Amino acid sequence: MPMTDEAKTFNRLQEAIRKDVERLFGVLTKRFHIALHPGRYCSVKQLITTHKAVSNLHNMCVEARRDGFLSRRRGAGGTNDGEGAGNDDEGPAGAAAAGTGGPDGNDGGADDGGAAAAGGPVPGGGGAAGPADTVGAANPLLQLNAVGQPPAGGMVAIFDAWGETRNRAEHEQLRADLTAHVWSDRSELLAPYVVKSSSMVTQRLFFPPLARFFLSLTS
Amino acid sequence: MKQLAGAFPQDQLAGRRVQSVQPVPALLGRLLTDQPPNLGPLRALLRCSPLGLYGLVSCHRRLPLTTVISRRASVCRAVYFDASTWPSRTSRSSSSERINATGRLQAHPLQKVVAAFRFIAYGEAADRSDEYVRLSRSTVAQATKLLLEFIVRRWEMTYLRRSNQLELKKMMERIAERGFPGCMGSLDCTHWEWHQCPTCMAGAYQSRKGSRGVVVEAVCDADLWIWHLFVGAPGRLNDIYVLNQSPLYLDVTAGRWPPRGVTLTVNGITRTLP
Repeated sequence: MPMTDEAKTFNRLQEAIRKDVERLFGVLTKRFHIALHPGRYCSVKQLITTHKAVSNLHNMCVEARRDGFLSRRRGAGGTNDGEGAGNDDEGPAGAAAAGTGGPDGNDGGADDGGAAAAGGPVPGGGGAAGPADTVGAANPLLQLNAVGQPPAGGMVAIFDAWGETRNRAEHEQLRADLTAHVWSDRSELLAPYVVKSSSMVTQRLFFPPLARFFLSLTS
Repeated sequence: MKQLAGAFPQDQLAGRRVQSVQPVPALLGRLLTDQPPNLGPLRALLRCSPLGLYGLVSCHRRLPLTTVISRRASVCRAVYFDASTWPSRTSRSSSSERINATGRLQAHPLQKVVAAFRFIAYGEAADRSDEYVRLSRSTVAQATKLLLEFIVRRWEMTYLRRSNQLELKKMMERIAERGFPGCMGSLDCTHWEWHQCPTCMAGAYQSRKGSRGVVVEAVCDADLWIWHLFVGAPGRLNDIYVLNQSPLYLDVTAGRWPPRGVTLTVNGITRTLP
């Protein structure tokens, strides 16, 4: 339970950021009603396949449209500008590649990524370049940090990672730091989420109770 | 895109004939001549009546078709689906119909794709598409299953992979602008009800509200881009149990992910992600 003003501010901002994923489930089920209605398959495996496919399609939609999203346009002056432009280039070219229909689509997508020579690793082999495939040489696939069996650093490395992620003191410290960080920039960070001050709030802030009493008499 | 988006009616359910559909021959001409993907005719295809659909399909048996699946003119416009890649279990080219044992031509792949996408987008019953594409319930169910598997097989590595270092950096920058440096996205779980849950599994899959279902765990960023999805945990589990067995958490605690060397500065203190 947040008690101090700092903690309350932090909590308010965290609510605003956490809202994204709540929106996700709403948007996903509205887009694809198969995820809205109870699953009518008989195995968990099929349920998993279904939801994965739906999320795939959802990601395709997002990829094609996110340049128009309000949050992107709002932050277009900042660091997102270059990224947005990159996606914008990729969209129509990818569409054109899909339009040719043949195996040429793959080459078109790879060239567009600005990596004509290298032709980055395309997942799934031959025809796998999707219409808006971001995977190019400029943006390589992630290699997971390999933990072999037995792990290279011994089990000690794994236990270290485990301890590091589960460190309670570190967690508290990080949260305290974040709280301080949010508190120092609160006017700027919370600005999008604050409701414009209504007359009641303004009165409370700017008029002492006695003056309010007189105001209510006059009105 | 924008022009097209405004031009189409809100509702294109099969039962409602849209008044302003172009005649089918005109659509065919545009389909044949246009080189870049002209989305108009194909979207109109989905809007027009079953009769129109039949005309288009029968004339274009041999063409590799690129269908644009559009729901209420706004949803899946982004999804281009090449019907020539439609998974087929025959030795013939997959863009043409199968021939069954008695030598009859079976349904065209485009019919099946349309039916399957209607199944996915509307969540309608499998025998509902009969009025629209004239396919039987079992065909639609089978086609949907094939399509779902196909989408997962072909695009999972593109669209549902874990973020790499560059994407992670961009995502973290965007969230840091909103005030949370070091945050990679929002994680939440939701329950997806499971209608056909077998009775023998009801104990594990019964959620605290009494309905049976599986838990879906997802992580997304501000654009609603899903970069982690974990489906299939029994509905009995609460969020923290699901998190404890999700691949993301296991990777993080075992040191496999996130990539090394990602730093964040909070309140003047610089940390490295574990």
